[in-house]
Amino acid sequence: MANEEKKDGKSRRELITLGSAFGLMGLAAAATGGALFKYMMPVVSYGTPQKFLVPIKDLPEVGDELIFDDMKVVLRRQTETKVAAISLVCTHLGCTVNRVETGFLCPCHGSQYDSDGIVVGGPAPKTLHWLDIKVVPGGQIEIDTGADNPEGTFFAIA
Amino acid sequence: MNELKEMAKAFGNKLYYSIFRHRFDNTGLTKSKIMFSNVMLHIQPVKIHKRSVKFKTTMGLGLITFYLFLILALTGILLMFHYVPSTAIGPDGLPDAYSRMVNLRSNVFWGGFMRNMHRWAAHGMVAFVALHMLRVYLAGAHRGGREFNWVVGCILGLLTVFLSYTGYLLPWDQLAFWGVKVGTEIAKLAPGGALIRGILLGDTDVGSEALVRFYVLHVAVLPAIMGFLIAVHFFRIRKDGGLARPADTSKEKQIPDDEFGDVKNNSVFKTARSYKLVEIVKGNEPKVNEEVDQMMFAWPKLIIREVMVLLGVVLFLSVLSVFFDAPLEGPADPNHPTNPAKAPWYFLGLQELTSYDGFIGGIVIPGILAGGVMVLPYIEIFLETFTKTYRKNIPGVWFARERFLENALFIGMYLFMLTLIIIGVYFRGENWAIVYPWEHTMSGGGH
Repeated sequence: MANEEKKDGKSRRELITLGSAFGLMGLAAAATGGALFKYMMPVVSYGTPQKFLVPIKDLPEVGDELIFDDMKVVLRRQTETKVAAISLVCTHLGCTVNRVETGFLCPCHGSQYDSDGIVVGGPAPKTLHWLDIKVVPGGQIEIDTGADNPEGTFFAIA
Repeated sequence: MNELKEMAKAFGNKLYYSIFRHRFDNTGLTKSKIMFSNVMLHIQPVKIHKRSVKFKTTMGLGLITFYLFLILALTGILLMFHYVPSTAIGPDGLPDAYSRMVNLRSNVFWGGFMRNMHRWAAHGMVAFVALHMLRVYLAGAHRGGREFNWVVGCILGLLTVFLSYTGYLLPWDQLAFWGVKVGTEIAKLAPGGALIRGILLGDTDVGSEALVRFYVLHVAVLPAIMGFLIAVHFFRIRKDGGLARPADTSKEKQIPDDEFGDVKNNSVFKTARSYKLVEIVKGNEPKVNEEVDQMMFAWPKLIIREVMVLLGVVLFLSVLSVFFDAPLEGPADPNHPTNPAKAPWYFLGLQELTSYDGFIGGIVIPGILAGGVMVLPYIEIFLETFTKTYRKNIPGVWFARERFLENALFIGMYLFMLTLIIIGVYFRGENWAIVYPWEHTMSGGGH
């Protein structure tokens, strides 16, 4: 009986020692891992800005379109006062779609959209994003490429 | 004068033995000494089974893969002398990384050749990893205690693919930019993928930060992990008793003894394997007196064959690199992908899959395939244990009848991927539409 108690005591002491040793090491490893993760996470973005400005006088003619290559946006003017901006970034895996007669085609995986950006074929899961447009002082409009409105969302510019 | 000669001879002897510690005569003892007194050679056993050097046993596929890795490391280090991972636009109007590629091609002596070697060796390595894996599976060499080494091998295979992927971003051409763009968009679809993407790219989109990160991964992090795992892979083969082979090989046709020449066995035990006792391990290995007549000295017959394979690989790659230039597309244009935008051939199967559905084709199917193949031996063991089908495993035999179903499924998987790759390479044209190669000239792909 005494022997067993002694054995118990020993194993408890071992458990506490080993447990705290490995526990501390595990804690240190977890903390280091977390810190490394944070170290690797980006803090600044060098990418293109999300919003851009277009002077109203540079807008396309009524019924016409204008493509902004750097921002991957097509700007469409429906009437004198109504414009819409459609993103040219494929909703599948982010390639830039090409404007063609029938709408938009993606060269990477063959997604097909009609002129309103509605998916008509290929793997794309969603309609091309229709973006926010806001009139800003100085006779300009501001297009927000981060937005996603339902198709056919035109904005008044006057 | 004579005395001087004697002294010079004595000095020469001391010098020689301080370096080599053995002569090169034809005795078993010397052959053993050669093998374990050389750091490069001691990775291999002193004596190997005769079937190990037969072409049909391994076809040298793993060895070729390893050589390609060495060639890649060497040419890669040399290429680093001429490369900067920067997207800053230089005076020539090109991003620095890209203009370094142009520089390698047009100005640097041997620059184009070096880049070609690196690129073709990389393609070759992906192909030979796949072939090596096929060989191992079809020969049942992943079983019989070697299951974990199969897992290590699968990780090495994934690392190979990831090294290729990080490598082809570096030229910062169209292929690089859109490959990484699409690849990291796929990562975003995976659970927790946005975080992984952030860590890989170091930014919200593919840009200068991504180039630096991929560069560090490509030249330091991944090769280091790879080197370590290669060591584990080889070490485990040694500890598992060399290449997988059936328990009884006495009925197999072997290379006749006379082809190995006459070996003087000067050991006390004329028939036993008799090299030094290096360590005592559990179990009954080294198996003294078992199949002694089937064992042969690794020096020189194995080593000569290995050197011949190395020379063959280097020769083939050199000729290839002289006549075929590694592809280089136009400088990266973040606004317009090429049309069609095709990945290198080994990713075209995946690209074909993602062209049906991003999540299923880009995450689910590749994930199941990679994960499933990795734990394949354990799935086999699981099924055998729970259905109580205890069959005789005969590792190291091609197309064992007992493994017909597994082999057929595995070959089926390869054919599936191969078909997708062929469709991707030859049957996809502008806007990823179906075309027929005999009607259109192909552009892109096959990089």
